[in-house]
Amino acid sequence: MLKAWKAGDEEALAQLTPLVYGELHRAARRYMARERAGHLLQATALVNEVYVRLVDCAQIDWQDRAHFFAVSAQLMRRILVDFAREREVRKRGGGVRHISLDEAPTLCKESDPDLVALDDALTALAVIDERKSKTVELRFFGGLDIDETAAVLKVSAKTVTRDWTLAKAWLLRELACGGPHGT
Amino acid sequence: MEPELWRRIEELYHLALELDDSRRASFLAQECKDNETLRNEVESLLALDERAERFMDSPALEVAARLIGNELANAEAQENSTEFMPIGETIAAGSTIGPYRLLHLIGEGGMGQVWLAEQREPVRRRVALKLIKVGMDTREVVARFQSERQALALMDHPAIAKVLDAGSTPQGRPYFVMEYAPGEPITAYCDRRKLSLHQRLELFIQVCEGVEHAHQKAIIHRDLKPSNILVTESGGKPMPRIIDFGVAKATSQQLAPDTVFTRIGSIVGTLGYMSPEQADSSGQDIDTRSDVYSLGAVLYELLAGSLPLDFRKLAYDEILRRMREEDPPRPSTKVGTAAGVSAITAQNRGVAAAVLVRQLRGDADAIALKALERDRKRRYSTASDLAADIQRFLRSEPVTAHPASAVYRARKYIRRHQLGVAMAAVGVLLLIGFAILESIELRRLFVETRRATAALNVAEDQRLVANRESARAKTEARRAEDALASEGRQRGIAEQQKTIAEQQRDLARNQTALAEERLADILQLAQNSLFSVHDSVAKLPGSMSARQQIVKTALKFLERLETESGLTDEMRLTLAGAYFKVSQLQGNKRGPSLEDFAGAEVSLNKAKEVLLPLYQRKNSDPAVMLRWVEIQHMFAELAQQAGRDQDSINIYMELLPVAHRLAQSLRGNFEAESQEPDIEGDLAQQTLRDSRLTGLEHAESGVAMMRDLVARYPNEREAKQNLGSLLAAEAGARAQGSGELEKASEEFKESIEIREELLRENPQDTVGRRNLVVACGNYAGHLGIPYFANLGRPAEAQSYADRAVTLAREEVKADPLDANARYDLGVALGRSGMVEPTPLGDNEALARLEEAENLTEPAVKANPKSAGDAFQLGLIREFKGRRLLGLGRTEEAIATYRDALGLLAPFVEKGGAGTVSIIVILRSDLARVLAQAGDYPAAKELANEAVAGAEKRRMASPQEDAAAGALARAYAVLGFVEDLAGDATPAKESAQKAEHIWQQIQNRSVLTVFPSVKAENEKLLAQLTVGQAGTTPP
Repeated sequence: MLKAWKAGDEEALAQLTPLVYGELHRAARRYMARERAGHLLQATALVNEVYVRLVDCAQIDWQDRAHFFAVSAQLMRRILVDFAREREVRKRGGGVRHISLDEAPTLCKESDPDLVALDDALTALAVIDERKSKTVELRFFGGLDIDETAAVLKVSAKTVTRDWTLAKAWLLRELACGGPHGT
Repeated sequence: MEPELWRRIEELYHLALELDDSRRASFLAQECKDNETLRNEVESLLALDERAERFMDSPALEVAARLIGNELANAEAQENSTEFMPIGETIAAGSTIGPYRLLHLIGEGGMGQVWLAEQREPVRRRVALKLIKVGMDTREVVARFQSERQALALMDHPAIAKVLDAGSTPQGRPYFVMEYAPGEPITAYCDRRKLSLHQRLELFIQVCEGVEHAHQKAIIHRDLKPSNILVTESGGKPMPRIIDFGVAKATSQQLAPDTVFTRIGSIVGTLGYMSPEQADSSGQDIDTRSDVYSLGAVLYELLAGSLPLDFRKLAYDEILRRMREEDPPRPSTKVGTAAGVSAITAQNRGVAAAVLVRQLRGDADAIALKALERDRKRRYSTASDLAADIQRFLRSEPVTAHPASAVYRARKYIRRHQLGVAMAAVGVLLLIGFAILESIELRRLFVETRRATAALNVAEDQRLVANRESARAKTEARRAEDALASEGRQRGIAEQQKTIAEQQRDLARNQTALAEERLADILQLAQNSLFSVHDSVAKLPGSMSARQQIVKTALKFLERLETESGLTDEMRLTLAGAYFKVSQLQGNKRGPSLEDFAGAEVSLNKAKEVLLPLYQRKNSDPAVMLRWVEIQHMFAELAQQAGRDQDSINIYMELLPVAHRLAQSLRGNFEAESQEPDIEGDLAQQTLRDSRLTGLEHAESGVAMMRDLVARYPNEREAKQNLGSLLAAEAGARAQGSGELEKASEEFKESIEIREELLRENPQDTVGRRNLVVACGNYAGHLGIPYFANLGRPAEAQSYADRAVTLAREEVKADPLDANARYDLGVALGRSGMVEPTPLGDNEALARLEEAENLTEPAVKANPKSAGDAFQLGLIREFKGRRLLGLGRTEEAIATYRDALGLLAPFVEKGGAGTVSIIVILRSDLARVLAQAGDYPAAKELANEAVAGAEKRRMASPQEDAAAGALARAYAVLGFVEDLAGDATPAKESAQKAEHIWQQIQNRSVLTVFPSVKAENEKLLAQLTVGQAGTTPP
């Protein structure tokens, strides 16, 4: 079934994005409306879990599967970054009024990256080292674990771990310090 | 950056990481001697250390979710804080606001409540009173409300619920009063009154005019759907009224959580009417064309009876297709293909289905589709344009809705084929995730109900009240008069708290009930999504292995749902259905499956367990009956698979009357009506083995029913498929049972033609191809394989057998892992080597039979209890033996026969007619060969065993001429053997017995089975009668 489908297909992504995005938004939104900090993580972790299991078809031809994961992760990345981007636009004055209330819980963790900036940094990383960029894409946006990523990229788990570690450091440096010489 | 540098950075980074801090510096100093850049890079990377470790530790999905959550939390705290209720003001049924007395709550929007109220002065009438929700009292919100009210007041159109009045409560809460529009949703009204197409369109035009009016006042509805377009009758004429104008606009932030406690059905129902630009949550610049889209959706429903896409009812591959294709199906097509529904839809429009399709085709289709264009530039830009085109249609003038131009269409076509199943998987995950999220919410709901009840007790606590009061006073500092009044209110506080808590508890209870219903919807939705991925996947080749994972996931999911809460009837039904589907995945005989028959039985038992209490109570409820029949049907299939043929037959026989009742009570539903003929077909196959005539009866009955269904459901592929199968069964039964060979030949041919046609239409359909393979193989037997009663046309027989082989090879190529495919190829190859006299020559025929053997052996090993599989292999070996003999390789032939007999040994006692008869033949043939080789004792023993077996069979079915024929042949061979052994007298007796039996046979087609035996027997008899010992060798 995956053979029918070609990779890196801009058109396809563009078409699906609003639908998936809308669905994601609706789903998360509806859930968030009633949620307070604690359970938040479980919900999204669940969604991830289902995702991985559903598509973890162990015996599908590797080529197709790698393909599938790679593009799905790409898709996720696009959707989520677009979402973050749009939100930023709104925040800067597109309509949502901020009324600070004491009771409003802050849900964002300290280590939550700015998705838009991250995306840019990741693009920059891809120029230097494509594999690491792909690793991040698969792990962070696609939600895959080390072994799965290794399988998709056709490298060893150890390589993935190393790539991941270095990529994270590099990206964080870009985001936090603006480069090797920033403060 | 140069690759070399980067590589070095990487290397050093990892090395340095392993060292502890103290040694890092020196290590780097050493390695980066002259290279400042390198050193900077590595050091700066290392410096981030722990922070880098924690970085991105939760996946992007969670990050995004938290972003959303933050926003919502803000918005909610701002708008919907129930902690800040203005105490002292109770809005409840019976309260009076101005001249209005509140009767009961009609609904609740993002910002306001809508009450049904009674106006006392200056006139008595019922009105709808919209009030800002309790707790919302920021200036901004009030301002918005006011502007909405003003905008609505500007509108004055018969199709729009008018604003009558406005004001504010003594506590300062603004409200406005609208015309109360009782009435039913436009779609329900039209169906109930069975309005014709023409009448519906006239009504719809009025709606468009109302919307146009609002648009001219710069008000967009944003939430047009049938439940917001109510129709009442005035003087016999229908009058539409659009309500809820301005609700969506005033609560413009898409974050308003006003749909949390609605049924999932209505959530996705709203989705159907929502324009694409609204659904895409970037949500900016919605304009009037968005309303046009919604109108288009309503129009579509009025025309075709349902939305182009209804998430709940559709299988997932339909949702997929919609994602892939941009055009919704034309209303005329929709009516035509919605099997079973089309009759009702047409009825509701007062015409026959075919007429309705004609009415819709062409202009009406075009208008609806133009209003539903995804690209809003291509839609009607105003509601009045839409109305105008409809007017033209009604007056039979040409409409302006053009079909897409060639260029546009070309672009769309390209897009259509680029979405793949992988994208769908992402979609599915979201639906499932959604379902899981919702079910978790259900659990939380229970908790909230309890909490609300607890609140009742707490209400007595004055201390809490005092706290609230002071907190409230802080934010209401501006309202000096309220602060004063609050003192007085405190006295009545406990009372009022109690009332409010009571309300909350009741609300929570209602919502629990709603949520339970919703859970059933979720199950349905999840089932459709999850298993219909399977359905669409099942029909494609190369997908065997994927399903294993899906099954595991599915079972886990089902179990989780099952334990989530107590099961209502609806949920039971759905859950049983879900388990049933899983068991099909595991062990479906008819299509590709995992062949996990044990697992299938477990799942099936689960399904039965879940359904049984419901079935016992409601066994005449069609939905329940259908599910029951499906489940029992599969039990029967599994029993047959396991070799428990009689069990299988028993279940079927019990099931027939239920299936019949089901067909009666759900006429118009293909699934329900096809159960009965399906069962007859299965019974035909089963009983065929034992009694060909009973088999024929069932087959004929099934065929007759199925022909009727094919006629009534012309678009149901499955109907044709089943007819093909039934015809094949009928043909087989007739050929072997009643001996009407020519008639059977026609039935075979018809069956094959149907299947060829189906395969042409769907070249990817593995099930269809498999059926065709089987059909061609059987027909080949009928044409020229002497094991069967046949027509003696070897060339034709060969060509059909070869066709079966070709198709089977395609099957195997498409999915090398599919055990069924290899088995089919084996059987087909076997048939192609069995034609006699063989057009292929003994060598080639033998080669095929050998290949056949290799392919069918694994299946027999996997199902040692399956008589059917053992029979096929036995038959193949029988003919292999014959070919070997023909080539003079006697020893091998003997070995082959022995192998075959060994394999079939378990079936000697309890096999069906098929296995018994092949055993008889094998024994006879082996006996003969042994006799020719001189091993008389063994030969005689075998030949006698053969006769004994044939006698037994004959006694079991004395009516059956085929059994008689088999017995005759057995005796004949016994005679040959005895003759070779020199026992002339017994030989003569045997030969005579054989001849005697043959003469008595009425069904002459039986004589086409291994005809040479009879001829030889006659010769032998002649010789022996004349008194000559010894015989000419065969």
